[in-house]
Amino acid sequence: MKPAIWWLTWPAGLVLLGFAALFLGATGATWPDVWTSLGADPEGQAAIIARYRLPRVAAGALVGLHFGLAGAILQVVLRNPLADPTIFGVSGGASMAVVLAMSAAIAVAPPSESINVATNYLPLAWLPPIALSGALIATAVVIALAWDHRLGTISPTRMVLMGVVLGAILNAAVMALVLSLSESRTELAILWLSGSLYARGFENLWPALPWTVAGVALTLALMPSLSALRFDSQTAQSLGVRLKLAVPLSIAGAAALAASAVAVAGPVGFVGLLAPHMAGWLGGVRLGERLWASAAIGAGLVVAADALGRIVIAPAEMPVGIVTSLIGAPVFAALLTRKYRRLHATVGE
Amino acid sequence: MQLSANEISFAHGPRRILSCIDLSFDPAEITAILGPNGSGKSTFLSILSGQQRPGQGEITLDGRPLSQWGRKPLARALAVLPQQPQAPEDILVRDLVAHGRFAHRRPLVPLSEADHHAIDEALRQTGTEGFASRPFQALSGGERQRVWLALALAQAPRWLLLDEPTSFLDMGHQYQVLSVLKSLNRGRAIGIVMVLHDVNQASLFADRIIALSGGRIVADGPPGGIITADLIDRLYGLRVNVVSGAASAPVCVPDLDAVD
Repeated sequence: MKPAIWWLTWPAGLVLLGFAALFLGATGATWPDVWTSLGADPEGQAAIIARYRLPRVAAGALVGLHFGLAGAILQVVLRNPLADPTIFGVSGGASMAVVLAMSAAIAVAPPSESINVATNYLPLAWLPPIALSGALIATAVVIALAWDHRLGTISPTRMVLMGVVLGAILNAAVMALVLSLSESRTELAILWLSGSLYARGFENLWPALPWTVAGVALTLALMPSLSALRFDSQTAQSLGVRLKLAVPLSIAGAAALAASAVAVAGPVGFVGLLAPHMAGWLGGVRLGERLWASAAIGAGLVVAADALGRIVIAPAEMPVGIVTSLIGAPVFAALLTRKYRRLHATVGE
Repeated sequence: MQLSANEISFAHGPRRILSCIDLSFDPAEITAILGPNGSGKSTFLSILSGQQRPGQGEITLDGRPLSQWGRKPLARALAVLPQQPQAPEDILVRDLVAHGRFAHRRPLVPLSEADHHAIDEALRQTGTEGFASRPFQALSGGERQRVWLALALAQAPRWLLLDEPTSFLDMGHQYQVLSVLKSLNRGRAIGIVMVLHDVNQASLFADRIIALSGGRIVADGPPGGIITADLIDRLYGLRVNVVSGAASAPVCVPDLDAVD
């Protein structure tokens, strides 16, 4: 059991990190700027912070929380430490829907206006609901394909395999569509596909909040079942877990969290995979401690990665999805190596 | 609380695993199920515990078919110890045993005083309270098996069903686990049904032995009445000499001259 103070370090660290992120970006900011921006009528530098950076940090934290929690739930339910929210094809489904919508917008637009299609016919604010529908459809398809009719529930192995297969198909289709877009659109599509928080405002965030509340509530309600599911399924069942209810419900909850996060930021890779491992490494041994630590770490990772992406090649930006993958992949490899070294050390004793 | 199997049959594709098993279990007894590999004994135990549905027939507990029991009420009445259960990574012994309270709890409500009491009792009865705060993975095989037993006991069940609880243990730990089971049956009035591989363990600890072969019951009765050289030959194709063991329980010693 961790002391109460340990629980406060996570949200406190997150707030500090978010605050620090407000300073970082293509234009510098000073204390007075940040301070003024939090007041009623910001201007100048302060306005940049209030209108662009504050919602961005909030969006990053929310997206990261979704991915972190979804990844942690999945790794438990699928009994697979490599499970990641992207295995549902949520990223593929969302990307497909967005790119399709872009193609459609170009098709209906008069040829002479094609340059302005993005703003006139497909505003950026429309992308989240479009992405969400795509992600949910892809998730439904993966769950349907992974359904084991004999057992009457989801087969974890089949789920992982079907997710990989559908992801590969959607990826190829997305690439083909992107190439068929006219030049000016390709750039916008690629910006979205690489997972970016660019120009995300609070209005993009509100639609995701009900999903956050529902996801967290479902996680709380399912916590005892999730904890028992860490045993083999036969043991979980004999402890009283209704496998046919708890497993599909947990997977659907994780899928909804991931899909709504992808809808806000596009596919941000590795956060859902990495956060639960970092939580296990830094956090407590109980499942509750793991899940909430994973959510907090996920939020921190995305906020930090987005801030890094804003300063590393300023005044240009590196999309957050690229930063998380560039940093996340080697960190994950290092964690795995460390873990197996420790495992071998124990076996060798 | 009565546990009965009513004309249970089960087939895996064209292969018949169980044929018309009709049995009633006495909660005051320890029942051992014997049989060679592939005789259907593990399948029967898994059907008896509600893990698997029978092809035909039904299991009744307290007069009601298992299919009408909810998972949680069933878990409060009947606990199962599978052959090789898997524990969560990095879990502490007491936290593992606490999962036995799942069926007694509601979500969002922390463990109650009664839950803690039941966990302490389960640890004490299995002699595992000494390593309650240690990681499960750090325990030896014999210690682990007793922790699994504690998990089942924390459910506060009336019935305990075990699939080969002594496999993978050394001789000392095998008898230690069986002694714990005996004290639970006698002292706590928990009905016990277990699949065993070792005829002598069954003979020394069970009140009743049910022998399965090819999915059918070939013998059913107290050890003294049914353990004969002929039965062992029929079950396992092995010639043995039956001698009298502790409390005049029949003990089988393989006849090595007859083994070719």
